[in-house]
Amino acid sequence: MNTAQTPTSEQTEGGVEARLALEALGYPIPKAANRWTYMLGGLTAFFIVLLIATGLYLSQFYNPTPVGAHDSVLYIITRAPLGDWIRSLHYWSAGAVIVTSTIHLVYVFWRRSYKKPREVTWWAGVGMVGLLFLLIVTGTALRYDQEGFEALAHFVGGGEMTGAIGAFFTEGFTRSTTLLSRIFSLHTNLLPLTLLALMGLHFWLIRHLGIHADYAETGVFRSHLTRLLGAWLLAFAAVGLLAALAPEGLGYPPVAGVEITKPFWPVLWVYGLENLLGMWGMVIGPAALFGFLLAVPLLDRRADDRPGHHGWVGWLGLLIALVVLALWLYGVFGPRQQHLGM
Amino acid sequence: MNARGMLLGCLATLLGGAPPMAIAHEDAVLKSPQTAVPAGGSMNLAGSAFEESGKYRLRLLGALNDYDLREVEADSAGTFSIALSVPAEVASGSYQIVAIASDGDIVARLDVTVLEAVTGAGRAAHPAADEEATDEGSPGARHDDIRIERSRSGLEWGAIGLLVGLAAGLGLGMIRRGGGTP
Repeated sequence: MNTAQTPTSEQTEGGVEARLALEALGYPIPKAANRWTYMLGGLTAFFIVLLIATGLYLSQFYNPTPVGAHDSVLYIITRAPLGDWIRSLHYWSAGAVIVTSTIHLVYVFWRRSYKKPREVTWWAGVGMVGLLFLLIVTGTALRYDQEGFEALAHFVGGGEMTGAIGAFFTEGFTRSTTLLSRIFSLHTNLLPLTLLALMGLHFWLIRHLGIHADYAETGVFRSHLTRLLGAWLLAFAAVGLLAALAPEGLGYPPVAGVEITKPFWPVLWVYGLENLLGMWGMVIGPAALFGFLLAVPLLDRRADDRPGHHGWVGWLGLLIALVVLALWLYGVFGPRQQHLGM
Repeated sequence: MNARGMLLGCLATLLGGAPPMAIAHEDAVLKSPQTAVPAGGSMNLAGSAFEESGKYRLRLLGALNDYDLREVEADSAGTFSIALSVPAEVASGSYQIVAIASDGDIVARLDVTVLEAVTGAGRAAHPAADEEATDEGSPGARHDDIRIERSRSGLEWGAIGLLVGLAAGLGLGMIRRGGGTP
């Protein structure tokens, strides 16, 4: 090689490409994959990554003990470098990930992309949505303001109701550490790790089984990835602006034994159900919804896989969606009620 | 310059130009048989390995507020033993008692939990609480947010603006580059 020559861009590009095996990104995909409806899963993945990154930062300042938690959150807001913005980024990303994952799930359901051979892809996706909701409620508890404390009290109440299954969520599970500390561990370790594992499975299956779309016209994955990266950056700009202009607040230190707040908006449908059924609503509602979602590939026995042709499964899904929406609206506009002890 | 030269140059800059490591100054020790003390109460505090006859300021450092406690003087063996009073206005939470030398360096620390004051007056007011009425039927409980003084510096606004602006610009460019929909 003539080292006196300036390397050409082709040589340089070839070097980077070869070292990172980027040519593997050049496989064919349906051109339809570049539609926004096919990018919602990728957007969801971005928000998960952003939540992990901002969460890692927040965990450097957070004190997961009852005496220190609330003050440490105030410290993050008022003293940690860019703490207020990063915490608000975390908050807005949490809401955004629920929006993108829900729309993605509904669209995949409508397209019947759970049909053979993609059942496991669907189940991994439903599992991830369930984990996102668990992350929402565990994250709420960590605020340790009135709303956070009531979330924690719901964990205890639910744990006591469900016997051995829920023992982990009771104060008496262990004397070596507090429930708040265990919820912090759940929120920062077990739940994100399980989420990432399911995400890996989900992407592996998408890569090797393909997406449920017309392959008559194909594009290259690389161009899809470029477009997706662009969408990620725009999404970051959007939540970054929201975080700067509408920072998330913090309630007062908690008073035990009362329930005077409403939860974070994604779980208001459960709050509405609790208004009707008491604490059992917190168990029955999610169990029914996620039970149905997991059963969908087994319930839809139609031989074809045409979008929108679900038969009775589709009508049942629509009914469940309307019930959840009605409960959510009731949770938003209905009265604040005491559920603890109901 | 080839890659190896650049790498060696960077390493040399980092090692040679890096600021000298702060020599650890926390050689002394603070101990107490108590790990928690109520606000307004007192705790036994013993110090050792301090400078002979040295004078130190004791402060209580919290996540949000710091409090001056008192001055102590070590004896000829570099030790002291006192009953330390915690001010009644200290809010409950996790704190550190630190001993500060005359040069301003912290020479020893001890983790301590300050509990709520044990009085008939009930829960001490949170530093951020104001005088407004609380919810009926839930004494002391509030569902609204604390009023927080947010003062973002120009540098922080600049950093946020730069990140958001760059992300928006790059994002639009990459979407166009990635090709449109069919």
